Amino acid sequence: MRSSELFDILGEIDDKYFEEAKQPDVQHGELIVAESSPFRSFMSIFAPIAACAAIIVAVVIGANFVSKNAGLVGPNDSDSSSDITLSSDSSTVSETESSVSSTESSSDSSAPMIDDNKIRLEDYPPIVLDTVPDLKGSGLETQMSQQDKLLKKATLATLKCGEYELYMLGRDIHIDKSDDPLCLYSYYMELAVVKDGEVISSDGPHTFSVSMHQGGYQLAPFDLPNYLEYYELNGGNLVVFKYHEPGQDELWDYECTFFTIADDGELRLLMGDSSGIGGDSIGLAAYLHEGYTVDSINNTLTDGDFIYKFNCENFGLNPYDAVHFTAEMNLDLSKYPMLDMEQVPDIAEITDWEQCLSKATLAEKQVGYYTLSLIGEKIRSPKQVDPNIILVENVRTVVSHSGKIVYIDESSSLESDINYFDDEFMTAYEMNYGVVFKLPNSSTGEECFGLVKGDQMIKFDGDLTATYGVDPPAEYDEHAEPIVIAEENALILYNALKYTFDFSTSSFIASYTGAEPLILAEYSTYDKNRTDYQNKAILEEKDSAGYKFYLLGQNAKNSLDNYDEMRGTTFSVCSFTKLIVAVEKDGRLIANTDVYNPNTGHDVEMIGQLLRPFEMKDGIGFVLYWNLETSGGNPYAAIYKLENNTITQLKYEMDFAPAPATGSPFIIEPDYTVDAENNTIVYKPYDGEEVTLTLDFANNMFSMS
Amino acid sequence: MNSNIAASPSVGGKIFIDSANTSSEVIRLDDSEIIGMLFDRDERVIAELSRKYGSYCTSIANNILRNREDTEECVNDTYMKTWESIPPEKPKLLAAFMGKITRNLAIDRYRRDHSQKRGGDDMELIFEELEECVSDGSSVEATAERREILAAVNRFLGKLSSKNRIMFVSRYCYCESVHDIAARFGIKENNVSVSLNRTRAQLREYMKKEGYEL
Repeated sequence: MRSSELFDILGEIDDKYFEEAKQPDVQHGELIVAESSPFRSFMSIFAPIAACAAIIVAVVIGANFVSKNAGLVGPNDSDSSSDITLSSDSSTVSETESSVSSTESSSDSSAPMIDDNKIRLEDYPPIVLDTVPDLKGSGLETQMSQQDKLLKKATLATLKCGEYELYMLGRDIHIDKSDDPLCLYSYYMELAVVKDGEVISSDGPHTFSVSMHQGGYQLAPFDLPNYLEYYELNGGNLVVFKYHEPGQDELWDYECTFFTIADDGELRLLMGDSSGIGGDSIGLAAYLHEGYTVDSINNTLTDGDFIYKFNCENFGLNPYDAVHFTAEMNLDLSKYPMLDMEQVPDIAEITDWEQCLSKATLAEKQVGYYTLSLIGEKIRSPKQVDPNIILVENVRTVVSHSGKIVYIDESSSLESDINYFDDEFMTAYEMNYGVVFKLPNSSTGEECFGLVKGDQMIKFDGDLTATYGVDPPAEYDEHAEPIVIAEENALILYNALKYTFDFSTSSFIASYTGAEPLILAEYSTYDKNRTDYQNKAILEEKDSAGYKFYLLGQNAKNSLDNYDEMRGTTFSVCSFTKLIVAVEKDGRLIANTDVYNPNTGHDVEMIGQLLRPFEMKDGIGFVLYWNLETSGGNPYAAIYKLENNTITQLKYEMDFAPAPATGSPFIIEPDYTVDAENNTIVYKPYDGEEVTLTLDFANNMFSMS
Repeated sequence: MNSNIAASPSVGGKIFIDSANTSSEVIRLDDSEIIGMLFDRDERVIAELSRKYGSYCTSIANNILRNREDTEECVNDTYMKTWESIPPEKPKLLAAFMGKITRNLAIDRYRRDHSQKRGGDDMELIFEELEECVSDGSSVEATAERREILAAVNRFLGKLSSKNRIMFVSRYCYCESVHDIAARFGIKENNVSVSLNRTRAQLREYMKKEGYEL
C-alpha cells in the first residue's frame, strides 16, 4: 500500500473517532477563529519559518543598558495605563465597562449558544485573582474535564493606545495553586481594539509557543499589564505583545509579536524579514530581552545586537510584497578587542557591572573558510583565588567569513580558565566539502546540523529513515568522542551513528554503524539443520563483478517443523537479530553495512536467494529481499549500490506527490531480469503489466515505469 | 430566550441569522435542523453551515493547505459538496461528515498543487511518517479490500487509549502539526512524537496480525 492510500483510508475512519478528536473550541460550541481576519492564516503558514527563525534569533544578549536619549522611549512611555487592579479589592476597569451588566449568558452551557463572532466587553469583567478557580492541571485535559468550573471570560489587561484602548481578553481561565500559584492559565486569548466601549477589531496574540489560540496560555498573574506595550512611531504606531511563561527559563525574556492599529481601529499583525540576522525572509515572532528600546523617530527597536526596523509605510500592505519590518544584526566585532587580562578587574574590587571589562573577544579560531570568534561581556576575574579564571556574561560564538557575520549562537554565562576556551566554541566539523556546524537542537530534540549558504546559516535536511525502528547497536555510547571522516564528509557520533553530509543538496543521511571492524573470519557457514543459536552465520555468499558479496546474520536460530494450516505442510523458519551485507575484493573486506529488515523470521528454504548482486553499465550493486516465501506472498526488496567501497541504498521517487523519495522496500518479483546496458531490472507482476525499474546510480535513486 | 435577539425568519422554532442583519445575535441550530434545511433545499443553510462549522472546516483545510486563499476556496467547496450530498445522504454526525469532505477536498487540491514540487512542509512529514506503516508502493485497487482495511483500522483505533487515539487522529486525519497537538495536551512535542511513533508501530503490527500487509 502507498502511504497516500493509508492517508486516504484514515480519512474515512469511523465518525465517532473523527468527532472525538475535534478541536476543543468546536467541541464546546464556541467559534474561536474569526475567519474574516486576513492575517490569521499567515500564522500557520509561517509557523515553521518562525520556528527556524526562533532558533536563530534566540541569540541576543540579556540585559542592555541603552540610555534613553532624546527620541528614545521606553515601554509604555506613551499615555498608557492598566485600569485593572489585580487584587481582590478592586474590580473596576472603566466607567464604560462598570456600567455594563456582567451577565455571562454565552458561557452558560445549558443556554442556547449565542455566536456571531462578536466580542462583548460586558462578558469580560476585569479579572479578580482571588476569584479565579483553583483547579488541578493544565492544558487540554483541564480544559475538557473541568470545563464547567473554569472562569469563562475576563479582561486580563488594558492599554491606552492613542484614541483606542487595547484589551487583552482571556477565556477559560484557572489557576493551579498546588502546582504554581504564580501561574495563571488562560486557555484562549484575544487582543481587542476598543473605542467608546465597542470592540472595533480583534486578533489572536499569534504567539508561536501557543499557536492558533490553542493549548492554553500561561501568564504571570501579577504582571499582566506588562504583556502589552504601545509606541507611537514616525508614521505609524507599534503594539508589542510580550509573552512570557512564568517560571520558564528561556534564553530570551519575551516572545513578542508586533501589531499596529490602523486609523480605522483595525488591529494588524506585522510580519518581518529576519534574513539579515540569519533567519527567514518572513516571520512573526521576535524574541526580545528586558531592556530593549524603541526609537520612535527612526522607527527602530534595538535589542542588544539586533535591530528591528519598522516600515510604517508597509503596515497596510501584504507582507509578501512589502515586509512590515526587517531585523538586522547590529553586532560590531571591532568593539570586542582581544582579551587582555590586565584589563580584567578583580571581582573583589568591583561593586557593579559597570566596573567589569565590558566586551572582549576571548578566543578565535579558523574552521575551514570560517572564523569563529568567542566573544563575551561583563568580564571579571577572581584574581586573588586564581588569576587564570574569568567570569563572563553573554558568551557567544560568532561565525564570520570575509568579515561578514553569518551566525551567532546562543548566549550563555561562562566561568572558565583562560587556557581552555576551546571547549566553549560552538561545535564545528571541518569536512572535505565544507564545515558542518552543530546548531541548537530543534524542537524535536533531534540533532540539528547547519551549513553556511549565501551568507546564511541553514539547516541540513536529515534523512534518519535508516535509524527508525532500529535499536541502537551495542557500541552506542552517548559519551563517545565524535569522529570526523573528512574525506567522506561524514561524522560518527556516539560511536555508532554515522551522518554523511551532502553539501550540494544541504542534506544528510544517517545510519547506525558498528564501531568495531567486521571480521569475516568470525562468521561460519549457516547450518539450516542446527536449532541452537549460531551467533555469526554466513547466510549467503555470491560472486559478481569481481566482488564477493556476503549476507551475514547474527544470532541465527532455526525453528523447524512449523505447521502451515493453509497448506497442511510443515516448514522451517530461521530468525536472526541483525543482518549485514559485507563485500570482499581480492580477499580483503572493503565494505559492510547493517541492513534493516523488520522481517526477522525467514523461510529457511529461501535462504540463498535473498541477496542478489548485479553489474550494470553505470554501476554495481545488489537486490536484497526482505522476504521470500515458498508459499508466495509479496516479495519485498531493497536495492543498493556499491561505489567507492561504500554501500548506499537507492531510493524510489514516488510517482505521486507529495510523498518523499523513500527507501521503503519495493515489490520486485524474484524472477526478474537485469538489463545491464540500460541499468534496468525488469519483471512482470503476477497480475499486471511488465515493470521496469531504472537505476540512477549517480543520484542514488530508481524509478519505475 | 434573550429578548435582544432580532426577529428573523425562523426554522423549526429557532431564529437564525438574516444575511442582511449580520449584527443580530444568533442561536446556533442543531445538526438535525441544519440537515432539515438541506432536505428542504433552503439556501440559507449555507450561512448556517458557515457559522457552525466554518472554523472547524477552516482549521482542517488550513492544516493541509497552509494557504489562505486555497483554504477559503476549499471551505466554500465543502459547503457546496455538503449541499450536493445531503440529500440523499443523511449523516448522523454532521461535523465529521463535513470534516471528511473538507479533508478530501483539501488533500486533492494539495496533491494537484504539489505534483511538480517538493517542499519541506508538514504534509510531507505526515506522508513520511505514514511510510513507516506501509510496506511497499503497490496500490490497493480492490474496493472490498480497502473496506476491510478500513474496518481493521477502526478496530485498531478502538483499542487505543483515548489520548493516543486523539493524538493519532489529530495528526493523520486532521493533519495537525505536532506542535499544535502538544499544545492541546499541554505536553512536550517530543512526547507527542514518541506517542505517534509507537502508535504507528502498533498499527503496522496490528494490521499484520489481522492479515493485512499495508
